[in-house]
Amino acid sequence: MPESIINEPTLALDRYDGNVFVITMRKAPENRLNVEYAQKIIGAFNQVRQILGTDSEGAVITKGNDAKFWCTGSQQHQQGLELDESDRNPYANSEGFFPLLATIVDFPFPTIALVTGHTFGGACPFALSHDYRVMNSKRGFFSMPPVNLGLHFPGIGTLPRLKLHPQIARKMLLEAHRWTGKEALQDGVVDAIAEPEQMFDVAMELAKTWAPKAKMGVYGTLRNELVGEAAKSFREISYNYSRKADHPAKAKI
Amino acid sequence: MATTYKSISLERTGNIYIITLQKPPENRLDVAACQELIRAYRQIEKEFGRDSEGAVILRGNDAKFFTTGLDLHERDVNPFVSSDGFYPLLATILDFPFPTVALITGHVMGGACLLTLAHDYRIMNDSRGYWQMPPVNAGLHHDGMGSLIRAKLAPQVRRKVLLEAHRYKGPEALKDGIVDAVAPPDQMLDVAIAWAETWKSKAKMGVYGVLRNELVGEALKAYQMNSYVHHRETAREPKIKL
Repeated sequence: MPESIINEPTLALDRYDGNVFVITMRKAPENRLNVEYAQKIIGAFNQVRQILGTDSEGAVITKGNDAKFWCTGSQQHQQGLELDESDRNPYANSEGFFPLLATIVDFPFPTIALVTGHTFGGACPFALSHDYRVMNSKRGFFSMPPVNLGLHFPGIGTLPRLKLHPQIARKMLLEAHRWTGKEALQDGVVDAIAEPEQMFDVAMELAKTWAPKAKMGVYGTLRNELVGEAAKSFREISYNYSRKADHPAKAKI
Repeated sequence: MATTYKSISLERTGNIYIITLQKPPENRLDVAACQELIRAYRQIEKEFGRDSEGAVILRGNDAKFFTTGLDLHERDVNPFVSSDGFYPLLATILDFPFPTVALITGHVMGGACLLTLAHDYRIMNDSRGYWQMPPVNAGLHHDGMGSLIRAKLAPQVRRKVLLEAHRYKGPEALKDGIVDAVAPPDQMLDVAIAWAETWKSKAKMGVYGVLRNELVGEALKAYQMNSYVHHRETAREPKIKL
């Protein structure tokens, strides 16, 4: 039985064997990331970090709702930004979403995104900021639509550029390609796919395999040798109030 | 809009513009030709207008040559020749707000390879023509030469291109991800047009160039930095003229 550390209506944090922590997002209907929610997730990552301390094995899995809940058939996005919030608060991304991305890329322990369903828009950098991605093989699409919406922020392409083959990064950023799980695996966008009933176990297996790599205290530093540019660009646009960094979407979805 | 060109010709079909290199025998890119190309890209951009769909295809004029690169004899009289033509041309294409397609009709060598890599997509003749970057063989280098290669190619292919001077024919270039499609000479223009038609709408929301530069920004900076520079050398004298 996992140990419950956070048990709120919209978010849970549970500790499993082998120092594997699972963050479950359950903010109906689509786990959209507004400022408050992004900060809540940052808080969960921070809590894991504080519990584990330095030089310790550990890993975090970030997942969507329990498979039981999103099995409704209709369009159910795993995550995306609340684009309306930008209307009320033009600094919303700078206060929530960008700091969240920076937190994950900086995190001292291996991270796994368990993409249980649709991953759309801002959810794509969110998934890419994790070290590994496991996706539902049967249901859900992965697509980044900024080119179709007129959306941009400095650094939006850094993770695709650093993690994906150049032609795949182009497919994601300039073509807004919509990947199924199988296609995403083929193109290296995700590392594994699994049927809904098995995907949690697959993610857990990955987490247990790589958790020991954090023990010598250099996991985050070494990861940043590969993707540190992304962390820097997210930090650069976090908590910015004196200038506008991003191109807000011309179209809303 | 009456603009005359000597080394190129322009034709428009719907929202696709085709620029054809027409400087026999090999479409070598001297400063004048590069500046004409820049003018052409600017003219096309103006005609498309902002926040509209559009795409540009650059091609050679026959199935023998695309372009065999820079005019290395011009460098004898003007040491800043690349800085005055070629680098600004690459910067212009990398910056361009609409999708770009290079239709590699035939042979392409050296600087011309970089010209093709600067475009968003590459279509190549499947049966004729080589794609090769010979700098390592010729003792040639310019600052930032690797930036486009790094931006567009997988690590082992980069090494093959820059350190091995591998000579590619179409099918192998496709396999290594250097080009996106190959086609027989009599179909290649249609294939290029089909690609341009597929992606032209991505420019409509006005962020195509900005998003492209998320992927190629380092290369754009490298070529901007070396454009119109006369106070220092930005390239090494080739030991062999090819």
